[in-house]
Amino acid sequence: MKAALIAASLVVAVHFGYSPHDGAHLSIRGRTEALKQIPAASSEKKPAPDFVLKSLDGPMLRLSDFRGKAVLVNFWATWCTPCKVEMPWLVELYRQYHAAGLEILGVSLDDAGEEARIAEFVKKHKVNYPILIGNDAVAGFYGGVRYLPQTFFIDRQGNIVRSSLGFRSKEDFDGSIKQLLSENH
Amino acid sequence: MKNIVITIVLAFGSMIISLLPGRALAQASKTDAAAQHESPFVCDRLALTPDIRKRHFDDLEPKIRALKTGVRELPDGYEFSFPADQTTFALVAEWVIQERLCCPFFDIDLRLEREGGPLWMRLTGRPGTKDFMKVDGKAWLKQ
Repeated sequence: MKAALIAASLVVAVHFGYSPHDGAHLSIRGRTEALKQIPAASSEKKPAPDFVLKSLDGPMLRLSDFRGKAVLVNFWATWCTPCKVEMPWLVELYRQYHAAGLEILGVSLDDAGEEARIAEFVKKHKVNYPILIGNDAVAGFYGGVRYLPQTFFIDRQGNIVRSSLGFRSKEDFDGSIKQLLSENH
Repeated sequence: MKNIVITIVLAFGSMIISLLPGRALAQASKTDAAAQHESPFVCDRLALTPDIRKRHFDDLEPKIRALKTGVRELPDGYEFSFPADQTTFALVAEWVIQERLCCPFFDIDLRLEREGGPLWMRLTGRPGTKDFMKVDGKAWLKQ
């Protein structure tokens, strides 16, 4: 069985490209079909679906309890590398703008039963904003959140004013947060 | 045994096809097409089942990192060397297939160096990809 698997792997390798000069060579450059269907980031304004989720610290948190604040709902997972790049920036931006009315809710979409891993990650990265244990139901309210990271910018009235899909720069976050804080203040 | 013979025959068949002149051009076209559909830097959380994700991150990844024998920095990524034995090749190939599903922004090359050289796994991509690798890098990039 093992030998068959190895042989099959070699089939894949030579099928993708073989040069007698360079040795066996496997190259993967294609995008999956699903990726072509990734929705673009949205700036359409609509009410943010409310949810109640358990926080990593224990208490249940309800999104609508943050009405009156500018809220970033950031969907992430411990295994998601682009999420890990963004996280220290969110920590810094939360420190910078929390007093001005910014709230960040990090909704983890790690697999069920991974709370210890999430807690370890949060401690290691010194995450200073609430982390919530997400689930597919809440992800469903926000379009399924198949791809991570995804961030929803919610104004003080509880409307999603912007959403972003995938990694974005710290400057982008900073600009969007400033705009969010200045709107309807 | 019969299965192995069949797969080896298929392998040589594929190799011959790959040497046909039109193939290089076809591959270049595919690459161009992929570039036109570049996705944001995202991870697909539905690409792997929880069990496979666990195997990928908790089992396979530490295993192949431990098997790594060297690292080369490239302008757009990194290249890692491994022993070119069958077991290592199978582990790396399994990791690669899963990695490209959940983290689709990588270009991935596997190369068996001539004259009994090592197995090389090259992870590259468009600008920004290398920065992502540095984030998870300590374990991967240390020589």
